[in-house]
Amino acid sequence: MISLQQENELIDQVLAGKEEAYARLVNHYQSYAYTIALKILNNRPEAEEAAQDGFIKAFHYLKSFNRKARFSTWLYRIIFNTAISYKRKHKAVLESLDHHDRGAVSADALEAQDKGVYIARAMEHLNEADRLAIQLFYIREFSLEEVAEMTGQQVNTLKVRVHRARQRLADELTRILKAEALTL
Amino acid sequence: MNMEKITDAQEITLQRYLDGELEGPALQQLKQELSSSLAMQRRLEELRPVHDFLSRNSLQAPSATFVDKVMRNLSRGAASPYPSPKNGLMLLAGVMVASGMLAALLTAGTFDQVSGLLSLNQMDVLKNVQAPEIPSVNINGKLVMKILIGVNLVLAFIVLDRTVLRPFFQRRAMMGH
Repeated sequence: MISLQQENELIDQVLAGKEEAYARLVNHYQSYAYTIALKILNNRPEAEEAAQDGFIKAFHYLKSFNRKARFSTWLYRIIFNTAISYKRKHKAVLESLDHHDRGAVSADALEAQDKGVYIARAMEHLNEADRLAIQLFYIREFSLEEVAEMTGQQVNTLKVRVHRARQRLADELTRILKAEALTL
Repeated sequence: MNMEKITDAQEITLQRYLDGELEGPALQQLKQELSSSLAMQRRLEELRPVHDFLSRNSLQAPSATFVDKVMRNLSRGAASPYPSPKNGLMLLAGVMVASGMLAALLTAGTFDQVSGLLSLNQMDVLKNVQAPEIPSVNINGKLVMKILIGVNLVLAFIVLDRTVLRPFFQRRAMMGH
């Protein structure tokens, strides 16, 4: 973990020309950045590329970071915007449902796993903004305020999106399960 | 079959309950409502798997070479989808000069005489061919030049947008202003 003070010292060192200090910042935030990009792009190689590009942008724009906000919030916004422009450019293909942690679920959780597949399928029916909102909201390492800041929305707007997305997912899951039950 | 529907307020309360936001009297009240409402119980059971599934969301780790790749590429600068401002501004200047010249020539009346009927039937190539009658086209030099100026101005606006405006606003968004 890096404290706020250490973070500021590292930023000072980077601004003074010590590039190696930036490696510590990248090392600390790489998983956060990669996860944000992955939620937007649904494609691992592209998410990695976008996150790397975001870090490179942040390095070049670091002089203009005014330290009024946390570095993390500022960085997440850059990563978010970079991943969004990648998505517009590359029109990423949705990742296969198999990537939704199927392997990580134990055998006794088979029912939950099956529901997970249906929920993942239902997610594809959400609009882009709602899907992103709910996915980022559920990453417990990000606060609601951080997600609102990075996506450029008001906290209340984000809450509405999360509420609506969850409502639709529950409705869609119920519909799918009913349809599945009828085919048995 | 119970066709009772829950209200929006109850739906919000259930979602807040799943998020762990309810405490004390609010939590007690919900428990009472749940014990007396089949619709509430059913809706909670519909919402719970969604909540449980999404709660498994966690940070994902990139490849082991992630940091090295970033550090190796720091010197190359951030990739931009837009042309460089220098090239864009040169192109913009060129388009504006061309438009200005066309406008000046138009104002000076250079194209006033360039008009008349263009008859394709009198062309040498078509004289030896048995072709159907082709209608004559009325050419108006001033109108053609005005269209060219208009196209140039649209082009200039696109160049301005791609090389100056969009990068500027994207940069502002990056900085979080």
